[in-house]
Formats: sequence, C-alpha cells, structure tokens
Amino acid sequence: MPLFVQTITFNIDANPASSALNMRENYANAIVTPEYSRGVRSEPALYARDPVVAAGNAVRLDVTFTGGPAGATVPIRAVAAPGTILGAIPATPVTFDGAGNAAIQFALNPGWTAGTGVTRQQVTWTWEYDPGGGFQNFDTTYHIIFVVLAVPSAPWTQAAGSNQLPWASALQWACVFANGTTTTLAATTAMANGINGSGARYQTLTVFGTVNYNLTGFLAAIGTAFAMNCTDCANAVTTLSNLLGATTIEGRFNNMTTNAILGIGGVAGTAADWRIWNWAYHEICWLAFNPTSVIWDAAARLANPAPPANILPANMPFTTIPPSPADYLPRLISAGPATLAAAGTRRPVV
Amino acid sequence: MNRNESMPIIESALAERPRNGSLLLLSFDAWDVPLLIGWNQVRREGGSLLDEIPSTRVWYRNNDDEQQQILVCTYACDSRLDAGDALASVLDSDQLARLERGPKDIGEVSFQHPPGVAPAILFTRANICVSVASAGGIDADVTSAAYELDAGIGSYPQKSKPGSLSLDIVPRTRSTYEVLVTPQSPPRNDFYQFWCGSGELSYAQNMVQLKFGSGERAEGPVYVFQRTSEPREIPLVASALIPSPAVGG
Repeated sequence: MPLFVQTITFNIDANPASSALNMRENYANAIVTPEYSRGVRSEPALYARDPVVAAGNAVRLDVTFTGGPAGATVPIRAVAAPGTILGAIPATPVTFDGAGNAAIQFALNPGWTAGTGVTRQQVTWTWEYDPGGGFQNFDTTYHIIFVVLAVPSAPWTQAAGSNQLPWASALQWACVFANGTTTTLAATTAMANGINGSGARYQTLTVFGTVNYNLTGFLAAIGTAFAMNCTDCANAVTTLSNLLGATTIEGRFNNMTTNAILGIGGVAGTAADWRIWNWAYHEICWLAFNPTSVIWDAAARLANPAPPANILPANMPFTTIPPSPADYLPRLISAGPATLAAAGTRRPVV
Repeated sequence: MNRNESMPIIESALAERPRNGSLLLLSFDAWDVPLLIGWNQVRREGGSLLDEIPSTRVWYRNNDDEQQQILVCTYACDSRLDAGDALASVLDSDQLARLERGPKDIGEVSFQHPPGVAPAILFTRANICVSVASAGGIDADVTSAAYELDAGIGSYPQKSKPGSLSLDIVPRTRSTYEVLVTPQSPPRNDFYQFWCGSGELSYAQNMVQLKFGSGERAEGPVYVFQRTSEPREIPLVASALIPSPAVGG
C-alpha cells in the first residue's frame, strides 16, 4: 500500500496562538475535524494573526499517515510554493507502527508578522519522505486557509457547537472586501467600501432583519440585484468586520432631516439620486457607541463638498468637541435631534 | 416610522372586526400562497427575524427583467391584534419618518411607501402581517403582488387530498371557547385555516381560542381547513357556541 497523508487536523485545541479556530461552514452546517480526510473532505481552516504572532509563530497541526514503511522512522516534510501563508512543513522524523500507520504533530513556521493582512489562500502542500537517498514526493494536499487579524468578536463566538462560530461562507466575502488589510480599522473601512459597492440599491425598509441578522440571505444576495437599507448595511459592516477581529457595534440615532445624500447604489452624476430624506432613524457601524466615536456608514455617500464629488463616511468622527463641519453628523443632517438610541447591538447571525 | 405614530392608526383600524368573520391561520408559510404570475420564486428563507415571531421570506424575480425583485415577508402571529403589533414593529424598521396609508382594499390595515421611494406595501390580514417590498436593482410594482397575497391568505384551500382532521369545541368561560384540532400540528408545508362567522379567533398556549365580546352572540359554525388535504368543513351547531351563564366564570 503506498504512503498517503490520511488526515490533517488544523484545529487541534482551543489555543488561538498555536491552533486554527473553531469555525463552521455556515449557519446550517458544521465543520468537523480533522479538516482534511483523504478521499472524504478538505474543509477550510481559520487562523487569527495576532495571537499567533504574539506567541512567536508556533502553529501546530496533527497529521496521520497510512501505507508507510512498517516499523521504520523516516523524515517527512511538505513543500509549499513561496508565499504560502502557512509556509512549508519542515522535515520531521515520523515513526510508523507495524501496520505502516503513523500520527505526529508538526510544528509550522508560518512567518506571519503584525504586517500580515487579511488573507484567503489555497495552500498546496507537496508531501515528501526520505527512505534513504533523498526525498521523494508521495502525496499532495490542498487546503483553504483564512487568516484574520484577531479572534472574531461578537456576534461571533468560539463556543464549541454554537451556530455563531465563524462561518466560512461569510469569510469568503469578508476576505474579498478586506483582502490584505492589516489593521481592524482599515479592514472595517474596506468592508464599508465593499458593502457600498456590492451592487445593492437603497430601500428604506430593512431587508435582512432587525432582531437577528439574516446573514445567510445577504450572502446569497451578493452578486444579484438586491436592495438594503441602513440597518442592513450596518449589520453587514459590523458583522463582517468583527469576523476579521474588529470590535465594532451597530447603533441607531433617531429623527432627522438629511442633507442631499447619495443612497447605496445611487449614481453620483445623476442629480435625482441625491436625495433629502426625513428619517425616523438611521443606523450605522460604530467603533464604540458614543457621540465622539468614529463611524462607518455604507448606506450613504456624503457630498464632498458638493455633488457629484462625494465621500463614503468611513473611520469618520460622528462628532468632535468642539464640533467640526468635517464631522459625520453635520455633513449628514440639516435638522433634527438625531438622538442616540439607548444602546448599540451586535445582532446574532442566522 | 416610529411605533408611537403607527400604533394608534393600526389600533384604530383593527378596532372594527372584519364583517366577513374571524380568520386564523396556523403554520402559515408565504410560499404556500400561489401568487405572482410572471414572477419566479428564487429563494425562500424561514426563521425568526422579528421578536421571535415565526417568519418566512420569499424572493421573487421578474421573468422578463432580472433586475426586478420582490421580497415578501410574512409574520405568523397569534391573533389579529398581535399582527397589528408586528406591523408596527416592521414599520419601526423602516427609516421613513412617515408612510402613507395603503389601498383600503388591501388587508385590514395597510401602509405604503410614498411615490419616489423604492416601493413597499405592508399590511395585516387576520393574524398574518405581510410586507411586500421592491428589493431588486430597479423598482418593481408591489401593489398587484400585495393584492394577490392578500387574496391568497383569505382564500380557502383548493387542493384535494384525504386528510384526517377532527375538531372539538370546549367552553372555558362564558365568552371563551377552545377549539381543539387533531392533529395539533400540521405537517411540513401545510397549514390550518380556521374561520368563524362571529367572535374572535386567536392562538394562545398552544390552543386555538374563540372569544366573544360583551353582548355578542355566537353565529354560524367554525370551520377548519388543512391546505393540502381535502377541505373538511366541520360545522358546529350555533347553539353550542352561544355563551351560557352556566359555563365557567
């Protein structure tokens, strides 16, 4: 029987410094370990950059082999193309039992730094062993690896079995919108830009839920003609940014008349798309839910200083002390109390 | 639209009971309603998006223009008053400070977006709250869809398939009756319609209740329908529904 990689477990324990994180495919489907099982499955793995870097890049993974030389110890390694996010697997002695099976924990050196950004990458490992006389290729494995900046925050959790574990389906889009960003502020800004440019059109009625966030529906809608309002945009920016390790929060302010603004999906050069609205509320993404926090608003672009020139409010102060005309609030509204709600929220995803 | 502005309008509209009797739907799913000629159902989602009220969401795409989509959300509440409360919650999730009243012949109370805003109509019929919104790349007419949905909710089932329902009415108080149905839960993709010519049907503590107001007199039978089964009209004699001083408190 030829030598094969039988299984690979990326999520070896609950320590994010050395292990992949708990995750699931989507709301409905879990991901089981080992993530790679020969001929059965190859599930994605998720790592958080900051705890790995802080611990000195000591990622480990468990691998089992079958069909090896019975009772022998041979060095095994995995070669990867330059730039592979998890790096190559250094040659490590592996001892096979009498049936030719072996299990070992490999230590990786992914070489991440604080400058490593949000990444989704397909990793290809070419496995080699040295029976004496030089290394020989015996197997190739393929894996989808996500790297986010820090352990995902609420509504996401690391509680085993929860349907609020990070979803691979959401990571796919989060990594498209914020690919390569290296700070959570930059990732949230990229997310706001990505959501604003996602093809959605403005609808004043909430489409994806106010108690729970129907992230499943939103992910299915991307790439089609669809509509969203401010709550939907705030949900998307907050939820997907927090998936990458940010700690943002959604929050409302109430009763206002806006300046002429360009709703999501509007065309800057079309005068009719610049509208003044009487809103009962507006909801955005906040770094912290207080009046001097910076905010992100993917639902509306503001005149800068006049249409069609415009700016997406991203990492922009809601208000400052003393107030500045460059603040978000005076640029957004012309009248009304714009009273902050009692509390912000991070809606559970469904 | 703030709840404190919408709720007085809703309560006023629902204060008057429907002239054609009381209707209650259990396990209602939007996709059970045949509707929208020229529209293709592209996605449907279940779940609870509004205060734990069972809801269904169905996306329709126009067969002739993929840019046109309609999103239909239904919230299956326990009573028509609860449906009014759900409507206020849905309106609360609309950024517009004010919505117009909808067409008088849609639902028991309805609201709609003013011209120039992506169209939406929101209404209640019996214990069901419905929003119909243009949710595509260009505006879609939602009025005809709202009419079709409203008619679909109130229509009696047409499918013919043997079923096994039994119905019993148990007096609990002078003005409240419990309507016992077996089986208690309809099969998946099925629902029950209850109709009574007088009184107010609602759902509480896993029981269907029929209540009469002060001075009201029970008239006519109660019917229960199971959509995918042969409609079984189980008439109850009127005398059995007339509140009696001898019954309960």
